[in-house]
Amino acid sequence: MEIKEWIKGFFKGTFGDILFGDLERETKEREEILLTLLLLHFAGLENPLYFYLLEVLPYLKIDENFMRRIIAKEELLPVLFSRYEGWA
Amino acid sequence: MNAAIIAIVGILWFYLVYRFYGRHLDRKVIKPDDSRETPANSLYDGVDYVPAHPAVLFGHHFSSIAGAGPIVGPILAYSLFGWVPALLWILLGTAFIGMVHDYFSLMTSVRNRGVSIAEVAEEVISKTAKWLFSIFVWFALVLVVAVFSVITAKTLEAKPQIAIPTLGLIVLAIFFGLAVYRLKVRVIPATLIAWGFIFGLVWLGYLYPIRANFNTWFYVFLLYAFIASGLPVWFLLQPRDYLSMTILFVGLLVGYAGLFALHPHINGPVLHSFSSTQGPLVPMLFIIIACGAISGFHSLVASGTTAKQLKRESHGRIVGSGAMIFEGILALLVLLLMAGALKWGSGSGNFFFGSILSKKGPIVAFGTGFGKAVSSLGISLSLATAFGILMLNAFVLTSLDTAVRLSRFVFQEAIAKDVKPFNNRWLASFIGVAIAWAFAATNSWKVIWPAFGGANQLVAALSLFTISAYLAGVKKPVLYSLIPALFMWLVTESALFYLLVFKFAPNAFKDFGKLMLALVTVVLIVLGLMVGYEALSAIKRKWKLKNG
Repeated sequence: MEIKEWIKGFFKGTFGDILFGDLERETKEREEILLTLLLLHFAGLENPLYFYLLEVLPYLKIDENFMRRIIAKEELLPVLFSRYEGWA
Repeated sequence: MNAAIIAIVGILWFYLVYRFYGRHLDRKVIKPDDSRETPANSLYDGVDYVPAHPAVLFGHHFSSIAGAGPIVGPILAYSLFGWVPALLWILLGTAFIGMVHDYFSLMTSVRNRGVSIAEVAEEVISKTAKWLFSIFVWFALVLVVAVFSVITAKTLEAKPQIAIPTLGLIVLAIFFGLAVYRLKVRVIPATLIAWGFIFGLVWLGYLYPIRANFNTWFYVFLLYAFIASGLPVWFLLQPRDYLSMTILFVGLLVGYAGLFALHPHINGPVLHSFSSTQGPLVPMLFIIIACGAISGFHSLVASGTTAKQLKRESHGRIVGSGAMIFEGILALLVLLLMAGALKWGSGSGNFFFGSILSKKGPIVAFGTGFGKAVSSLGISLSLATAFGILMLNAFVLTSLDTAVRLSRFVFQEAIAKDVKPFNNRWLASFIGVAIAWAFAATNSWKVIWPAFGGANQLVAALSLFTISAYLAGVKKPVLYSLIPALFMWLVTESALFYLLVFKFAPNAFKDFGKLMLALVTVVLIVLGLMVGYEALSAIKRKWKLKNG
């Protein structure tokens, strides 16, 4: 089992990530921005859509490290707001 | 002696080195401790700092450090000095210098919050050290652009049949990228189809050779490198890197299979000469084979991205040392193919190493040796030769535009940070390409290659000094890295001095390229001396602190 994992990992690292590494990273980034938007209310920011978004919550896949990542990205919120500037 | 036996002994040697010397280094110096959090865990941010499976990380690391470097160096060294000096340097250099350098720079970075080795240098040596890193790296990159564009131009001039596959691969990569990214074709079928097209291109190339002279090709490739380095990565760089990597990997496997099937007797001289046209064996050998034995670039990769993804400290050995050992195995294959499959000297036949190298350049020499070995597996000789040439050519092209791209980043970030016009990416790329053009004006890759090696080995010496200073600071044994550091520093400085006095300076006013090379060598020598002085005084200071 372990050997299979090693071979798979080696091929992913040597070949797969050259093609898809950046894409995977960007997808993850977008997913997190979406999650942050959806969870803004819990960060203490008023969100007029809060009641509608509540319905989405059970379907969100939030892994245990999500909060750590958000805290690590100190610059995330300003970036987020600059992207959606003019919406409000 | 039989090349297959040397290959087996060499691989066994690498295994033993990894097993015993690697473990010895672990026990004496690094002492990996899995209870200590690595930056991937402690600074986890989901983007750069992400713990990865060691196999994935090994793959990343290997694909970043493998390239055309470990192929061109051994070919030149074999032609100048004979196979035994080159073999010994590959075996011993990889074991006692290259592996130490890669593994220690990875672990030094891991123990320093995953920052790059240049930033560790700023902390443990001095502020200038960080700046010197950038300068050496920038010169090495620009010299790579010069030497690789000369080599490819020479290849296409001598072997017009390769023109269509070489240029076609670029177009193929673009279509491959579009198919995979836009049309969502699955990767494995797309790769197989791309491989079919590669063979088709080789066949077309034989039907329609494109003949052009050296200068035309040279300008075509400089222009290509300039344009390609400014394109978005998904358009050309990623798909082409992927295709070249599959070609290299298959080539490595098939090459070893061919070498064992042919098991030729090595017919080249054990020691050709102590003093070649490019200079005496010591110190030139140590800068001519750079990437196959030790290369400064590896420390940048190890400390740049790999250190941020190491899950546990105990994985460091397989990623850092293991990838370097694989690189050594690649260099060993190249050397044995040249020494075994080709006949030494010049002659009228097809397989004379000397005449191929001088008339057609190192890429064709590699392709011919590779073709001869692989044809013993039952594949047609011309197809195998074309594949060998394409394998190296693809990598040279990859390195060409990656080097321009990286030189632009280094130039913008470190050298021209506060000058606004340089923030234009085309201008920053253009400066790199223009200087590469000036270096390449000598038209002789054999002259430019050692200068590239010199800049690269200075990066290696500086990283090893940084590692030693760090180890001295944390009260660990420094000799395992300090002796290689001093060795690399001394041989590189003396080699550069030799190049300046005997190669570049005498003809500097007749030949524009040599004048440029002489200037860069002077800069490298002076800065190299500065590195040595600063590093040694930093290490002495820390040593005194430790004992006092």
